[in-house]
Amino acid sequence: MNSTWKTPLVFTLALFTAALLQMTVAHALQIRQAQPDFLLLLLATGSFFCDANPAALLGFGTGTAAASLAAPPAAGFASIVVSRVITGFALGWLAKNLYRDLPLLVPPVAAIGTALASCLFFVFFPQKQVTHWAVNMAGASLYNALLSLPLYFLLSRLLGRPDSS
Amino acid sequence: MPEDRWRSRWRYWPLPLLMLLGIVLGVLHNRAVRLHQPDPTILLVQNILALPARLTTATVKWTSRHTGWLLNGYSLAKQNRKLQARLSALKAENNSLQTEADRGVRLSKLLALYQQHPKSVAARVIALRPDPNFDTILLNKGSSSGIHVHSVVITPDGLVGQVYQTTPFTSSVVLLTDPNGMVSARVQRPDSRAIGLCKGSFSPILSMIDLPATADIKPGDAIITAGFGIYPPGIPIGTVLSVAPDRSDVNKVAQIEPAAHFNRLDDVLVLQ
Repeated sequence: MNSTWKTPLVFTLALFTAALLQMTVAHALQIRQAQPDFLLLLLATGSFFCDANPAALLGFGTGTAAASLAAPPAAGFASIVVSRVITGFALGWLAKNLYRDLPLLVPPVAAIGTALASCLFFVFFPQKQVTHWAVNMAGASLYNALLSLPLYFLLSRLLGRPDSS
Repeated sequence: MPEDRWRSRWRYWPLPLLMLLGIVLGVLHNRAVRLHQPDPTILLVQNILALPARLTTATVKWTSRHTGWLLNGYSLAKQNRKLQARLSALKAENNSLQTEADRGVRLSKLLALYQQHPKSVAARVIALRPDPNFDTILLNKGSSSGIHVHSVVITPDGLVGQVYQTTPFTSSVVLLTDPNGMVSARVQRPDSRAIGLCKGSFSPILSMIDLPATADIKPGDAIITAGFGIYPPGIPIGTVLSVAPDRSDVNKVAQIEPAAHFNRLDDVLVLQ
């Protein structure tokens, strides 16, 4: 397949799958209050395979999907989208300029990326239940760190190692 | 070169553009919620995902029902392979029958509830709390089935919440446990007419606030909807666990254990 189309196609399919898993499986995998955030997992891990701009676009896609699934009853839609755009951009930029293709860094980056998106969301849309938010963030960060390496190797297989792209 | 400098400066132009687009989507969403209209973005995303989500949920349930015994059998086989195989098969059969029986009981309860509320729609939960920052669920029926914003969602156990967004084929429901979910409630005891407001705080326990200090309410009291606002009267909300003075010491606040099981929502009824 033409490599120009391969990456967007793989990420579009991955986005669809992540949104579907978030809808149907994420809550069932809950341990205590921790549940994975498949969309943030895709964003953090996918950023290893993108430059800053495509990663920001991936952040926009995952943010829009997450916000549409959560469909916040009050405000909060834009906060979810913008927090993920910024997170995607930051992780994509760091991956490109700082730590490109270091698989050992994938779990910490997934955890930090998840935490960063949650913190930005908190800044844009302060939560009254701070403990609830903090426990969710910590749980999702740990969960995403655990799931990040398998996803990284799957994406490497589909797209090639980041350094060879 | 000035041209290179200009290019370098505008290299990251998609970032502000995407942020701006996100803000525009947020403004459109807030406007849609305020005007009780469907949000086009949510409409698009939920409609794309609704059918695959239904299929995935059904597949996961079918698989766990029909192959779960294999996983259980593996550990027992170490002790007694032959006996375990028999035991696993019986367990699987029992689980299957129990699941069907539970579902039958649940559906018969739902049917009984439906007969009490003939103008209602039975719906299935296709996403439970997709974002942990909001206590919301997604139903597989929407405006094409007659569900509209402010439709009340119940189970045979009690009140679940209210619809706040609809698309033709899905509805988003804010649960009572979400801080945005609030309902006027009263004690269901003939000698008490205590009225307050039940509100959520992401906790499995609800709070009943705005109770006067003289309110006659005690642990064990059943709490039902008072009938003010969009919620019809008499729907069970929960049971009082404890009563204490609030921070101001002027009113009381009661802790309520919800009647509905918010972590095990499967089939619900949407009142029209």
